[in-house]
Amino acid sequence: MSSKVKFEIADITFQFSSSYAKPILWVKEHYAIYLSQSVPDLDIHLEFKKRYKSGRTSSVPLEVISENGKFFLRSGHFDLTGSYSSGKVKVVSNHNMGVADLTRTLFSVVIVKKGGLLLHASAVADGNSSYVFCGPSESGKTTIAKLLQGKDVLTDETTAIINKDNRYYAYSTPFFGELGSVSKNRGAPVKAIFFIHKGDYFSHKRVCRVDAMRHFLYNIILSGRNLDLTNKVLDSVSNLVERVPCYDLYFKADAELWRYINGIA
Amino acid sequence: MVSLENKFIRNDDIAWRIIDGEALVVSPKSSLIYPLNEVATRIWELLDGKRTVFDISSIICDEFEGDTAVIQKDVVDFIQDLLKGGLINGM
Repeated sequence: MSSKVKFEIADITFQFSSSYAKPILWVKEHYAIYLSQSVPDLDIHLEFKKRYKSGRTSSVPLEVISENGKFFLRSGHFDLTGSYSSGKVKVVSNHNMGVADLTRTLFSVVIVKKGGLLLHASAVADGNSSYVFCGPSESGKTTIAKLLQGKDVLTDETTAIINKDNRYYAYSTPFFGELGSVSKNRGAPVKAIFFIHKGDYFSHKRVCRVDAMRHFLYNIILSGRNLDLTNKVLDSVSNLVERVPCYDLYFKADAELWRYINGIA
Repeated sequence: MVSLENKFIRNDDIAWRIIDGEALVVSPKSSLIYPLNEVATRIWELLDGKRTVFDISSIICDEFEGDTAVIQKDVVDFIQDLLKGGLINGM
């Protein structure tokens, strides 16, 4: 008897099915606000088998191999085979596979194929626009999300950026940080992107396109080492910096943050 | 070791784009990003496997104002770095 669950992140719908109920129950519990009834883009069948001992170890870097419309991911915890066109994906894993790790890995690949990006960034929606705050660990993503909790925080850690009709949208993801899961699964058109730095006062400057691209490349989450995906990332990032203003933002942890940001963009 | 007679070509496994005259070169295998300035970008473009290091150095001398000996040394050093990083191959 196979259990199934569907969930949607940034307009990409996943279906997990497995004869082993535990990962399905995990998704239902942890991705509750992302559960969906849409037609799945990816139909992922999970199989669990003990791994042959002399195989790879988890220290092997994750590699995505694309051949004739199919893709293969191999990590220390799972082997994955999928087809970009049919969306059928088969995952073989031992029982200690993390569903969150698998979802994030798969999502980071699929979103790039669809012309989007998964970023180390917090994001906040205000009405029908959103602001993205991008930076590595300890740069202040969660601090900003906490300071702006009066607004609609989309995520404090990992933002999905997708292109719909030549407009970029920031979406919440279930890959959250210290602040925990958000209450709504939603997205909003991106008004501005800030590369954040902690400081003693507020300041900002517009970032030129090539520097913005460099910042994005340092903050993109892309599992796997693959030329095709890297080329897609470069195309998406160069398009994004054409369309959305990007700024370096130095900020202090102060309630004035929103007023300052509103004054910029 | 790079000498002026050698020819080099950009590695096919490397992704790169030029934005506003400056290249971003990305090695998917190492996940390293190499931002290049205007001169380095021009050298990168010229590494087509047909030109020698001397040819490239001469073009840079023509297109940019600077001391010929300094430019030639910088071109050789830069190409050496690219070779070490696995971004180009010798012909």
